[in-house]
Amino acid sequence: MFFLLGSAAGILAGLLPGVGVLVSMILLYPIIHTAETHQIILCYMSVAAIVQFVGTIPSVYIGIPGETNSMPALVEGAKFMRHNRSNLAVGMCACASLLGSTIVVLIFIVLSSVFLDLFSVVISTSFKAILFSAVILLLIVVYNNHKWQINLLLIAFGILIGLVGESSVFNYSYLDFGVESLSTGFGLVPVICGLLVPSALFQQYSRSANAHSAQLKITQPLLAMVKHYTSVLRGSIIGTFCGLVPGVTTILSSNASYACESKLHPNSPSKKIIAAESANNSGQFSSMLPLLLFGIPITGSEILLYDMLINSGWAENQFTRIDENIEFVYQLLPWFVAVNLLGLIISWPLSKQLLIIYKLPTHFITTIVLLCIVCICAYVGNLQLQSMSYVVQFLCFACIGLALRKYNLLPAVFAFLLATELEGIYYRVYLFHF
Amino acid sequence: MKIFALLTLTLFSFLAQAEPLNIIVNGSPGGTFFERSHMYAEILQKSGYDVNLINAGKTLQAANLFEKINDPTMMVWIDTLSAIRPLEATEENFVSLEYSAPLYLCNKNGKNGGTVGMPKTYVFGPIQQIGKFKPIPYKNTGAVRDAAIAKEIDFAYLNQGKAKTLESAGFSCQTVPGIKQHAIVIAKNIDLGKLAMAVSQAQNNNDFVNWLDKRNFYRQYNISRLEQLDLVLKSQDLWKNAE
Repeated sequence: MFFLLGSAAGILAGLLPGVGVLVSMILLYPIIHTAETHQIILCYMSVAAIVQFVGTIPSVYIGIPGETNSMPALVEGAKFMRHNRSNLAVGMCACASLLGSTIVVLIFIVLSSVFLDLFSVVISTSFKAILFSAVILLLIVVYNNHKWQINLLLIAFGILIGLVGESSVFNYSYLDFGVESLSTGFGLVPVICGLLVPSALFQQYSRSANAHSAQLKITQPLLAMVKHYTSVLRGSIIGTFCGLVPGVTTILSSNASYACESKLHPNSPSKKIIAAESANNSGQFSSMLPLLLFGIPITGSEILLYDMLINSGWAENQFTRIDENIEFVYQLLPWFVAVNLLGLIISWPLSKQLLIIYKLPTHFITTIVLLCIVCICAYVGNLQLQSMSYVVQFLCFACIGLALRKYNLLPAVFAFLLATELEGIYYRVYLFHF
Repeated sequence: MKIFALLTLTLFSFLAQAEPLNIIVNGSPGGTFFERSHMYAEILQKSGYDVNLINAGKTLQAANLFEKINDPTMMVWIDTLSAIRPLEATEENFVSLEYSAPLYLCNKNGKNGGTVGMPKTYVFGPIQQIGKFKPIPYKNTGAVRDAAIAKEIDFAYLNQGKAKTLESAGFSCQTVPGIKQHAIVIAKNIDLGKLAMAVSQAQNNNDFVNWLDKRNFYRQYNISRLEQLDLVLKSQDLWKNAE
């Protein structure tokens, strides 16, 4: 039951932008908080895994990021759509996701004995500084047809808007100009939705999204996996390690892997989308390991999960029980395989059924989607008592996104997501060395 | 018809009795602020208050909101934040002292000084007497704990919950002398004495007691509200004056 409950919540979370794993777990809280430890973990694992599969579907078919880490799928999915090959993109994403999940399990089995040492390296400031610098460098080099000046400006813009609000290392706010709603920074949802969604919808306005997508033979995505197996492997390995970085887990996984693949194979959308999707899923599994092995939550949704686990009798300090916890993760693996197979079925053969709403006229869908996004911004803003501010933010960033629609704004969005982390990391590196 | 009228009357009279109360929820899901707020909401709702939860997210936003709001409102707070946020306990808003807990300094290498990781919301002063430290600021106590595990800092300066985690990972932790955290409840636009009684009853609820005991938080039994306030004001001054 918890398996199915989590899967159903994962489908909704994947289809609706702004409703991620955290919001799903909050909505499920009244139902599952009294359950047993393993049931809660199973439910969480199902939500988190399915959302990675399903989040790709709206990104590829209609240009809406179902999840914050679906941006590479959104950008590359548009290229497939131009050639009426969205079905192939979705099929490849589903297969790559399954393979990514399988590879991370194999990596875990091989490295489980040295996981503690590995984790302590990955969470260090020095490692993060090197990793983040490499990612920024890749963002500068690979996007917008290698026009590094444009990318640099976009990254600077992203960092600028990301730094607005409370500093991550000092007790004051930057650039809030005395406006109270800015003292806590721009909202994630209005910025991502504003910069990416209207421009993506605008570009698709004259196209019929999935309606004219070419018929797909079931072997085509499988053959693509065989042909691009190096991208799957590369994406899964990058995703596994980036998934361990607190706070940014799957966002870093998919974007780092995508940036790496863009550098290696700039003209191959297939390789890029496959690498990003396999990284997504491998990152999702590895991001759960610090919690399941050591009792250390590293994402917002895991903090909530941790609370539920404690209340259901889980010991707070897990460092003395690592061996038992590794055994526990092994017991979860069959369920993880099952949920990934379910994800494959939902996100590939059944993807059209999920998108039945998108059979409606494009103009109608676009209007509805934009209205939904405004409502979601208002809803998410209302949780912070800032509905109006979030809607205004969305409209402002939508204008910027539309004005800059000929550029790929992913470097700006990614820099926005990492800005406060970057501030903290580089400031600490400075303190350590000077 | 008579029964319907009676039921309607009962319902309206019940609603008329229920006193409205906003509870500002700050902090992240799973954090102590978040949990405490939700426990109070549940228990106070049962004891007759018409509770409305307001999610404020970050502590800065919660402090701003509390200052501005004109309706009956309560919020959980901690005195350490009064040094850096525009909100502190006063005679006009203090409801109850919930628990006290020491802060800890944890390390693994037996050094007497070096780099010390600390949340940006903590003040550095109290640990300066213990050794020669170079402060390294982190976003929160979770990040400090991770930095200690990654061995990038010599000492970790954090709260009781995270210190216990580090102890289980082989760290030795000592309490920081002379200073404690005090978790409190504050409110405005409401009868503080009446609310203090309801809050005190909530704190004696089994769920609440279990929650506090599980985390080894120390409750101040048998002292009056004014004595509690006196304790908190002194602690608040210590935090504000600490560099």
